[in-house]
Amino acid sequence: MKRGLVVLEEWAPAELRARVEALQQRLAERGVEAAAIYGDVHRSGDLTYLTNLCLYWNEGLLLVPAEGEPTFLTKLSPRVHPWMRATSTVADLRSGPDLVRLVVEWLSGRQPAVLGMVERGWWPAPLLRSLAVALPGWRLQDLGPVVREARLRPSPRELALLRESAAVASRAWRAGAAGLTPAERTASAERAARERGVEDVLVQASDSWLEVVAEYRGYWTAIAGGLGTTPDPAPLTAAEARLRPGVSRRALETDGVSVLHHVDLETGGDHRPQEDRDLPLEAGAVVALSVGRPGARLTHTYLVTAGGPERLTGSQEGA
Amino acid sequence: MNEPPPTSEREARYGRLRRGMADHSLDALLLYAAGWRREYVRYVTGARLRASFALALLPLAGDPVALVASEEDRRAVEEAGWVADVRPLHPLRLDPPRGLRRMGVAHLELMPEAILARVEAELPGVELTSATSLVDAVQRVKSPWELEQIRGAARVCEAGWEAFVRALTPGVPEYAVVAAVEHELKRLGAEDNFMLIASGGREVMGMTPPGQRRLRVGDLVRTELTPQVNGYWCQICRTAVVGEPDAEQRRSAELFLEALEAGLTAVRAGVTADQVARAENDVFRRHGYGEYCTSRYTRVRGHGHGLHPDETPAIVEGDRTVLEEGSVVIVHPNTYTPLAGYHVLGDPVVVTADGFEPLLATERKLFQVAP
Repeated sequence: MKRGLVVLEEWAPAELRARVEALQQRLAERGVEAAAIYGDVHRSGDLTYLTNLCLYWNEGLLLVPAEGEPTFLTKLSPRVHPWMRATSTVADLRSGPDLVRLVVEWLSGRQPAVLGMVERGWWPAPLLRSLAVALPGWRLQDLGPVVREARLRPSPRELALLRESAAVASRAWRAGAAGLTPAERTASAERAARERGVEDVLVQASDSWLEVVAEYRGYWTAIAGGLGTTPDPAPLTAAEARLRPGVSRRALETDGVSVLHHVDLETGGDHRPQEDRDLPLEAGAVVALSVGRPGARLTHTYLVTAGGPERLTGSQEGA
Repeated sequence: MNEPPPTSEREARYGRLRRGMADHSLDALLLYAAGWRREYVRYVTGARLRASFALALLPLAGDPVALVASEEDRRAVEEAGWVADVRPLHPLRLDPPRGLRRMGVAHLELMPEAILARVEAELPGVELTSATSLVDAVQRVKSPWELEQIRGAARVCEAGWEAFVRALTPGVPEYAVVAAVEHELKRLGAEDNFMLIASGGREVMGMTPPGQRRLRVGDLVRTELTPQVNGYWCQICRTAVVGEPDAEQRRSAELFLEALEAGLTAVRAGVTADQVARAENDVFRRHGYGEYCTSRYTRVRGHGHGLHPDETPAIVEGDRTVLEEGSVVIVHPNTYTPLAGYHVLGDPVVVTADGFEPLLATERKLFQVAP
C-alpha cells in the first residue's frame, strides 16, 4: 500500500507541465474540451505521471482542460490539500463524497461539448453512467489509453528514475534473500526498499523464492528469483536474446515467458489493452521479463535498446 | 500466517448472506473485488486474492462460483477450499441459476464499465441492484473465529507501535520511521499495513504518507497504523513527543484521553454510532473546542474494521447505525486543535452486550521519547 516517501523533485514541475501540455495538444486536435482520468489507491499511475499526485487512499478524478490548469477531484478530506499541493503540481483541489457533483460543478459555465474519458472501460460503471445523466448535452468520448501511451516512452529523467527504482528493488531483493523465513525475507526487503525512499513496494516470499516490485518516484520495476534452487534461467536468457526494438510481446511470450511494461507493473498487467500484445516494443521502453509460474518465477527489468537489452535489475548472486 | 478459515465459518457466512438476500428479495449475490476492495470476495471464498478484479456469485440456493483474473488467484481459491467452481473472469460465463430475476451486486459502485456491461449481457432481463449495504451489514458482526483473527492482528498492532516509538530519534526522517514499523509488522506476518504519519508542532493539520522531514526535539509524532493479519485489519492511533512535552501538549493529551474515554464509555450493543461520536465531541465542546469536530477539520470519530480497514459504521454524528454485539470498531477522536496541532488517540474494541472488550493493551497516553 502507498505509505512510502512522496517527493516532488525540483526538476519535476517543468517536465510535468510539458506532459500536461502534450495531452492538451492531443485534446485540441480531437476537439475535446477536457480529459477526465479516474484513479484509485490501487491504480493511479496516470495521475502520478501528469501531476506527481499520490492517491494514497480512496478514489479521485484528474480533469485536464484543453486549455488551462488541471483540477483534482477527490473523496479525501480537504485537510490533505496542503500536502497534495506541496507534493504535486496541482493547485486546484476539490473534495467531496460525490465525484459526479464535483465534475458538474467544475464544468458549470462551459458550453456542452466533448468530455474525454481516459480508458472509459475501467471507470466504475455507476460513476460513468451517472455522469452521462448529469451532463446533458455533453458527449462522453472514450480517449482510450492516451496517457498510458505517452508513458510507454520514458524521457531521460524518467529513465534515470527507472534505473534508481531498479537499483532499489535489487538491493531490497538481496536484503530479503538473507532472511531465514518468508516473513523475515519480506520484512528485510520492505525495510531496505522503504529506507531508500520508495513510494510503494510489493514483496512476496516463500521458503525458496522472493519477488520485489518497487515504485520509486512513481516508477515501477521488478525482480524475482529462487533462493538456492533457481528456476531454469534458459527461457529467460532466450527471451533476452530476442528483446529488441520492433519485437512484439506476442513474439516474446513463448515457453512460459511473460512481458510487462513498467507502466503495467502497478497492477500486474491486469489493465493493459489486448491490442498491446501485437505492438512492437520501441527503443527506450522498459519492460519486466518473467519465466516460470507465480511463486517460483524468475524476473528481471530491462531497457530495450537497438544494441540489445540492458538489464536494470542487478544480479541475484549473494543470496 | 495465512490460515484459511474453517468450513464451519463458510456455512455461517453463507447462511447470514442468504438470510439477507431473502430479506431483500434477491435470488443471488454477485460480489465484486476491486484491487483495493477485495473484502467481499474474500469473505465468500476464504481466499487471499491479488489481481485487480475478481467476482464471486452466491445463489440463494446452490453452489457458489468464483471468477478470477489470474492463475495465482485460481490457485488461492482452490487452496482455500470453499468454492469448487472456479472460472476465468475473461471470457465471463455466469451460468445464472434458473429463475434468476433479481440479483444484488456488492461493490456495484466500483465495478468497471467493462465488467458490468458483460454481466448485463450475460443476464438479460435480470434486475441488478446494489447489495453493498447488505453485505456491509452482514460483515459488521464478527464470528468467534473472526474475532480471534482480529485479536491476533491487535498483537501485531501493539508491536508495530512499539517499533514506531523505538524509531523516534531526532534527525530521523519520517519515511525511515515507517520503514522500521513496516519491518516489524512484516516480520510478525502482516500481509499489509495502512499507515499515516505526521511530525511537527502546532502547524500540523492532519496525517499523510511520510515525507523527508527529520524529527526534532519537541515534535509531536502522530500515527495511525493498521496491520492486516490473515485478512483482518486492526488499527491503533497514538501520539508521541520527542523530548519533554510542553504544557499545551500535555493539555492536548488530556483532552484527547478524556474524549476517547467518553467515547468508549458510550460503546455497548444497542447504541448508535451517533451516540458514540456525540459522547466524544461533547468533551471537545465542553472545553471550548467544538468547532474542531466539524467537517472543516475532522468529523469522523472512528469506524468499523475487519476484512477492510475502514468498514461501516462511520462513528460520526448523524449516523444512526446501531452497534451490534460482536462488531469491532475503533474509537478515535482524532482532530486538529490549536493546543498542539493534530492529535491522534484511538483504540479498537469488540462491542459486547454491556460494553466493550478492549483489543489493545497499549497505554492510552502521550508517549515520551528521550532525545
